[in-house]
Amino acid sequence: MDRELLKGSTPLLLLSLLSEAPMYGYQIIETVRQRTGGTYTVKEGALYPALHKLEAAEFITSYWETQQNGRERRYYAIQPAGQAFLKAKKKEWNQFVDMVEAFVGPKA
Amino acid sequence: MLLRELACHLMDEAEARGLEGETGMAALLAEKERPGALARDLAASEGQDARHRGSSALVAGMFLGLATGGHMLIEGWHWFICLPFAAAQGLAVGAGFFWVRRHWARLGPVARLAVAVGITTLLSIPLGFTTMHGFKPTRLLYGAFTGYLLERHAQERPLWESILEPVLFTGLMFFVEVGLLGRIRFQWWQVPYELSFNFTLLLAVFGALKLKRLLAERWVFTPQEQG
Repeated sequence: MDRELLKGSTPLLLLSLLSEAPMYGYQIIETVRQRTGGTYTVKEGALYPALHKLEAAEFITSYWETQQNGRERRYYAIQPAGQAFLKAKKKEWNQFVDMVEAFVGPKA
Repeated sequence: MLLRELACHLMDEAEARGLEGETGMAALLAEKERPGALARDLAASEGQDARHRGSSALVAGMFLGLATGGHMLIEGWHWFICLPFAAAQGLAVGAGFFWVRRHWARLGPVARLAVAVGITTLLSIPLGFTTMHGFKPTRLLYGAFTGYLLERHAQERPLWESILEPVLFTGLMFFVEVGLLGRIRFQWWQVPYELSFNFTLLLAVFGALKLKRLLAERWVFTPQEQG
């Protein structure tokens, strides 16, 4: 897939995933890989800065949780500001898709 | 924190892929981006995040301070009262609130509101000294009210609620100043002054929250600078 098309989509993709449930880093990578059938993969070097950026913007928050086996995981959860931002961006995204489809045509 | 998170990530991945022991871990590490470069990039992004957090809190806080201090100046207060009031309201209450808010992000709505009011009451202690007669404890109520508004209106609220809040707070201020403390004698001409100030505070809170959100949105879509 053309990387240019994906530019700027990572924050929305992450917020969209976190709006479903709180997730930890590896879980996010795996969910993205599974849902896109492996056509899009997020690397750690892109994921964690993006998550921390969203946290600095107060769109998400994070917390550590100890698992039953004693290991720890840092979970990320969406915040009300993140929900509002996602809602607005989803609307913009749908408008963009409609606009492109008017020229390129919908998926066959 | 970063290293701890990356170590946890590796453990999760190793577990999911059934890799065990030193050989398994070495194989996993060999597939990854160069650890040195990754750590450098992550550290750089952390620094940028901290700068964004600090500067956006300062900008939004100062907006709050300038709006309220400016209103007092228009009302005819001395500049040497308005200026420290604006500074205390902007730097201590406003910027302070935005700086520490993330620490109670996981609490429930009522607890968030209670913590916000408590913290801004403490942060507004400098406001108490912005008078010509020493410390005025009722000034702390403005700080508490600012915290209440900032937390409450972080999410969309009905318009009637927004209008009612400054009206009720004005009533509370007169009750405390006139009824409880007996500091002033009630006169009707004071009401519009107090009411308009509290409405300015409400509008300033809306402005500061909007500003903070705009800066956050811009920040999220800014490409990461390499360290």
